[in-house]
Amino acid sequence: MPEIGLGIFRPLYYSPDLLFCWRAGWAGGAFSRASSAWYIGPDGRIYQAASHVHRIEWYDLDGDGVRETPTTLLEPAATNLLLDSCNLPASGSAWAPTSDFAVSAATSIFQGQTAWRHQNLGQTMFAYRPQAVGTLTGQPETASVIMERVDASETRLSIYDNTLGVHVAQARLDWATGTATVSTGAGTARARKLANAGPNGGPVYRLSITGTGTAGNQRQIRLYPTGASQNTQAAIIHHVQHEVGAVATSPIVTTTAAVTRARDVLTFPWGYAPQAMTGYLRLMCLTVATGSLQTLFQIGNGSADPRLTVLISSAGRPRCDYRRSGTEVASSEAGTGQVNFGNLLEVLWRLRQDGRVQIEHSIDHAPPIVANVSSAAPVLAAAWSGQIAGLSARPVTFDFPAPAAWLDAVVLKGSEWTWDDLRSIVGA
Amino acid sequence: MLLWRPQIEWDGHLLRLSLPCRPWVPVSRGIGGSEVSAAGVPAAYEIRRDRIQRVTLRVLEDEWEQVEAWLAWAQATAQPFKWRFDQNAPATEYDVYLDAPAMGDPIEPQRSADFGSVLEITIDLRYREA
Repeated sequence: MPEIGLGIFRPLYYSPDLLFCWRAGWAGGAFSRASSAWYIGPDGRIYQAASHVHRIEWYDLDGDGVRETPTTLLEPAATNLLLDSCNLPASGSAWAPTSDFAVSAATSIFQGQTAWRHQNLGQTMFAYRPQAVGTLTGQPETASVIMERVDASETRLSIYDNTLGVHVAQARLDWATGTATVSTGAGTARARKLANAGPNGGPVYRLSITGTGTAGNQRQIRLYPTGASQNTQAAIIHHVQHEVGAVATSPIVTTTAAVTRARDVLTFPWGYAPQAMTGYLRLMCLTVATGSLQTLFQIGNGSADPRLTVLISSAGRPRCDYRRSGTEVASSEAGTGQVNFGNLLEVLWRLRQDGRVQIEHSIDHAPPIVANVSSAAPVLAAAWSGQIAGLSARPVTFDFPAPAAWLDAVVLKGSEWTWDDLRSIVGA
Repeated sequence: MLLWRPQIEWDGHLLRLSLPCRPWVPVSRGIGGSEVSAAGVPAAYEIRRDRIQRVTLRVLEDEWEQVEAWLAWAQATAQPFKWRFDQNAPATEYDVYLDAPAMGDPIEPQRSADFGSVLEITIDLRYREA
């Protein structure tokens, strides 16, 4: 990571109001990740980044099929429990052998991997590829698959309880509409288009299913490449993943053992004392309301006060806290506007000179939701608990993470800046 | 219509400038030598010919640190990087070397006379032969 030299020779900006500006892909700050990890490139293919190299993942925000928007992907650690995640030949892998499909190799959307075309032989209904994977945890778990259509009408994916012989939750992807529904059991199904035309010419989707099973029961992941009916259709399997958590995180490729992707850490030195400020954050939300706090941005060390934290509350709404001490806390949270996986989230937060805070947020370009100014007004401290700021987790302790694909973060001096002011800086 | 806002990929980082660059100037530079004989007949040899684009970047003040970091890296490592004349047009992307300012030359922008928060710097990019 190069040193950014001007930062030691202040004032940094001729424009005196700008305290901090960062955009996806920029150098500077301190980034680390103790493992390699995968990300989606501008061409829709999936590439591997080496350890300690940040991932620039590209999004199509205007729906034209071109991934024109770079983001920096920051996620907590996760483990793909399935083996042979990209390796599903008819036999000879961790997946149970099959005689229901004609299986042949195909071009993978993953750099350096092989995909597997599954042609249903029409011998039976509910033809599937299963893999047993330990026991259910009693917590939300998410299975996901990256599929490319040949001529299949549907694809299904199930978290299966092998002890009870029931589906915990099963998702169905309707290839004609690109929509995902829960077809059996209880849970949340999601579908996200990765490419209009994949490496073999068909559309590529990531289908996921989240469900909570009975702790200790035998777990199996079942993939129905061409759905439930007796048919002779075909689809291509690129990757299958199962992880504990309420959302599917970025793909983790496995072979003969489960693989853990280490957490991404991005922090910046913060040399400014507590003062009136306005901050702006823009990100793709890669989480849901989990019942616990998820940190988007923080100035200060971990759980030590004084600190300023912008977070997603247990109810899934953006919140801003300024904590001078354990009992001197100003907090502002919107009453509505829960964020969800895949939302483009913009957050504007203010720390006022009198110690009050206020947060506003916009989801997918909707008009901003403005929360009340905090009632408490702790006097601004002389210094933060640490001269550090972090994205997507608390600095130093790196706990309470909020996975996100980040576009921008800006902080201005003064608390009266408007949405237009902030958006104009980043070209939003 | 292209806006000519450059994009640079260097050492794993991505820099997309907010402002368009100024119209660039192509430079052709032969590497070799020439002599004139006693009879007055010139002779020359060419080892290679460099294709250069001289580009003036316009940079917002908050982007300058990133530009400086990129140019300092290019000076220090002499590594090629990906240069895109327009960030939304992949067809305008090339692998290039930083030809100027080379190591030893100052990375010295000028303030825009019109906009105090805009800096301008002229650089030479040399096309990297495959």
